[in-house]
Amino acid sequence: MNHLGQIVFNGLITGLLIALPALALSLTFSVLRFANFAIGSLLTVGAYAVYGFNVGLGLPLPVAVACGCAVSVAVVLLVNEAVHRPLRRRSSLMQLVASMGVALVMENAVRLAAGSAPAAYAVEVARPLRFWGLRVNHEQGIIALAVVALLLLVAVLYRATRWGRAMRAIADNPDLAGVRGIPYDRTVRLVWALSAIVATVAGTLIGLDATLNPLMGSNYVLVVFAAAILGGIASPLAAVAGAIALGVVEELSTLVVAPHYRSILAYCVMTLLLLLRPSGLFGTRWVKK
Amino acid sequence: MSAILVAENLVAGYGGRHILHGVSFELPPEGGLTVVGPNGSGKSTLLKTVVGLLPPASGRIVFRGEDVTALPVHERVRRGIGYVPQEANVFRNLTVAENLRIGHEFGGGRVKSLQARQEEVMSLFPEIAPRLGALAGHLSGGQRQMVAMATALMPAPSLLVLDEPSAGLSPRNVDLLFEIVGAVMRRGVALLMIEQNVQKGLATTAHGLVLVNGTVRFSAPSQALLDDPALQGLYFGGRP
Repeated sequence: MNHLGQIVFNGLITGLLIALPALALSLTFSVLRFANFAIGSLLTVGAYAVYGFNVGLGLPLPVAVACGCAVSVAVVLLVNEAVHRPLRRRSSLMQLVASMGVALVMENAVRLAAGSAPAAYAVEVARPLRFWGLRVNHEQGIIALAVVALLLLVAVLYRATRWGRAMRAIADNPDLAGVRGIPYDRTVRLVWALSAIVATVAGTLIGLDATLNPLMGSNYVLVVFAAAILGGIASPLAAVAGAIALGVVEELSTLVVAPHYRSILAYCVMTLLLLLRPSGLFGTRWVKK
Repeated sequence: MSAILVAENLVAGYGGRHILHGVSFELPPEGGLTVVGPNGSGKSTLLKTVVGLLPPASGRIVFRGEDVTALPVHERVRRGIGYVPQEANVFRNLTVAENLRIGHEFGGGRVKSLQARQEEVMSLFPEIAPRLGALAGHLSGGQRQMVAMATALMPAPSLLVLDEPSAGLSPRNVDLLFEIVGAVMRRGVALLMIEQNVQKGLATTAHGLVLVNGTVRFSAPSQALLDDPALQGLYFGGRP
C-alpha cells in the first residue's frame, strides 16, 4: 500500500512538473493558434537565467527566480518581435517551423554560455520528510507548493481579469476581438510574457528536482505536448489535468514494465484517448459554429 | 446639422483588386442610412473600410470631425464607432455576460459603470437578459444577433454600423430586430447599415444609398428610393 502510495505521489509530482510547461504551451496555442515548439528551450533559458543569478551572483533562489523571469520575458518578447509577429499572417505550420528554429538557437545559446556539463542550484541538501510512511523530499514539497500557487494565479488571471478575458476573446475570434476594441499586439505580448514566467518557474523546479543541462527543456517537449493534447490543448487549465494524469500513469506503469519504458505506456494511453476523445480528456468542446 | 461620418472618394479592395471605386457619402447624425445594392456591389467592403478592418488604397474617412483613416479598428471603436459584423459576431466560448463586459471595458466605456450600462442596454433586449450566464455559442441565431448588437452598444457608441443584421433570421426576429434598431436610433445613436432586405431596411432609416459596382448610383431619402419604379425593377426584385 505504502509502495503504491509513494508511486502515486511521485506521479503527482512528475505531473505537476509537466503541468507548468503544458500550461505555457496551451496558453500560447489557444491565443496564437500555433504549437510553440520552443517551449522546451524557453524552459532551459529560464532555468539557466535563474542559475546565473543564483550561482553566478549568489542571490537567494526566490530572488533569482524573479530576475530569471525578467530575462526570459525579455527574450520571448524579442523572439515575438523578430520572428512571430512578422509571420502573423502566415500559416500556423510556418509559425511552428519557425519556433523549431527559435528552439535550436536558444538551446545552443545556453550551451555556448554555460557549457554542456550538468549544473545545480545553490540550495542546501536536506533529509527527506516522512508522512505516514510517505517519503517527501524538500524539493518535492517546494514543487507542489510552487506549482499549485502558480496554477491558481494563472487560473484567476485567465478566468477573472480584464486581460484574461482579452486573451480568451482573441483565442475565440481574433478579428472580432479587434472590433470590440481589444488591442491585439499588447494582448499577445502579455500571453508571451506569461508563458515565459510559467516556463521559467517550471525550469527552475525541474532543475531542483534533477539537474540543469542544456537539453533539459527539449527532453520535456514531447511529454509536454502529450500532456497538453491529452487535456485538450486549446483550453489551458485542462492541459494541467492532462499533465497530472500523464504523470501518474507514467509512474504507475513502472509496476508493470521496466522504468525506462514508462514513456511508451504514456504515449499508448495518449494515442488511445485521442482515438476515443479527440478534443482531449478534460477539454470542453470548443464551440465553432 | 453637420454629418457625423464623411467618406471621401474611398478606393478599397483586396490584394490590389479594387472593389470600391471612389465612394463618397455623408451620414447625418439622425435618421440613419441604409446602403443597398446587388450582390458583389461592395457593400460589405464599404463597411469594413469605414470601421477600419480594411485600409483604403486612397480616400478619407472623417468621424466627428476627426480624420480616422489611419486608425486601426480597435482605436476607432474607442472613438465611438460600434460595429456588428454579419457572421461570427459574438465570442462563442465566452458567456453572454462576458461578451457584454468586454464590449464595455475595451470599447472605451468610461461614461457609466458596467452594471448601469448593462441594465440600460438590456432594456432594449429583454429576450437575452435571462441568458446572461449561457455561453454565447449556445444561443440561437436571433439571440446571437441581439448579443452582438448589445455588445456593440455597451460602450455607448455615437455611431452603430450593422452588416446585414437580418441575414439568416426568422421573419419574427427580423421584425423584432428592426424595431430594436429603430429604438437605438431614437436614443440618439447614428446608424449606418447594409441590408439585403431592401424594403425593411429602407423603411427603418430616413436615408438610402444605392451602391452598384463599387460606385454610388443613387443617394436619396429612403421613401424616394422605395417609390422609384425604375429602382424597384432593377435592384429590388420588385414587379415592373
